[in-house]
Amino acid sequence: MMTEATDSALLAAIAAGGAGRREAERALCRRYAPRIRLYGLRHLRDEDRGRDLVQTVLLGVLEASREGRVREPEQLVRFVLGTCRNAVLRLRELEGRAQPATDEVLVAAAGGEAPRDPVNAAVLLRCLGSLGDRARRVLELSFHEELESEEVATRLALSRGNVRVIRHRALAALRACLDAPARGAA
Amino acid sequence: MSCAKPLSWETLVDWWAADLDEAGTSSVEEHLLGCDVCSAVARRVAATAEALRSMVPPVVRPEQLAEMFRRGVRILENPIAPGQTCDFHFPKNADLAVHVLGGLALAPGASVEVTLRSLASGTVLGHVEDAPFDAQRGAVYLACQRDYAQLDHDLVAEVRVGKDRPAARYTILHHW
Repeated sequence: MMTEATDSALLAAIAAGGAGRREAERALCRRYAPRIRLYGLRHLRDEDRGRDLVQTVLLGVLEASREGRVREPEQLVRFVLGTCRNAVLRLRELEGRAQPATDEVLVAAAGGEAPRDPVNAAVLLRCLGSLGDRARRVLELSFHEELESEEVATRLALSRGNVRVIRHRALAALRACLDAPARGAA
Repeated sequence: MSCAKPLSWETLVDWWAADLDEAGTSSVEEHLLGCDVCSAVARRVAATAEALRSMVPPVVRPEQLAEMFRRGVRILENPIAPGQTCDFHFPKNADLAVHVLGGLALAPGASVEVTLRSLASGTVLGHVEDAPFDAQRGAVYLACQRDYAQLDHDLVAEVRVGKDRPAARYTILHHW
């Protein structure tokens, strides 16, 4: 089964060409697409551009694999990370969107599972309301207003370390509230 | 699926908030690109943070409202005067309704607090200190989303300008 093959085995099958290449490429794309999309959303903060990143990076990785240019197959993760970094820099320079891919494997990979989960606005409001004032403000300033922790600390007269602790605890509490069974019944 | 050295929730939140140094960021990203277990946890962090980033807060800043107009969000404004009780039907063709709580004397830099209460029980549904406002229009913008149909339908918005002043009250009876 290609889906369980190691990265090295997939790269070897792609480089060898022949009948197994397409299946190996599909398996590689399925494995890496969600991870690249997460990287893209973190660095580009935009779902559409995250999809562009998936296509751009996978295209680069597949081309390098076909041409046998991945020198250390067991270090494919590092190769992908380097390709992600370069692609993010290029995408940031672009005003609009990247050229859409036409390869069906890339198009399918980029359209896969998204990290964004549509959250009901009323449930989000209720869950935010269940947090303490300070925790709610830290979350709003960190993730809605996207301030750095230093600035959040200054605004709320806290230390930076305090902001980080409050932030990760509050985000975990918010996630638990959003996932609670009451959500469906709310 | 398993991971020998799973990344902690704390580390993933710091990563998402861009609060790690360069070496820490690289190390987390290399791990995530090679690990389905930790990627799944990171996606939960991402989904929660993204929900916060894209949320429309209960009290909207004028510039945020203008930005939504520019993006093509269909917004219906519902002007209300202090002391008024307003029957409000959420329109089918709007993405967002904004109750324009007007008639306020607002100088730039004023301290404004907004408290939302259930009309029936008096319970506080939300409270915003240092609420944003439109000084030129003398108004505070209260966002109302279709999803709010599952909250208390009838509410009182109290807007206090300055700590010792009486609050202006706006009563909104929602019909969904």
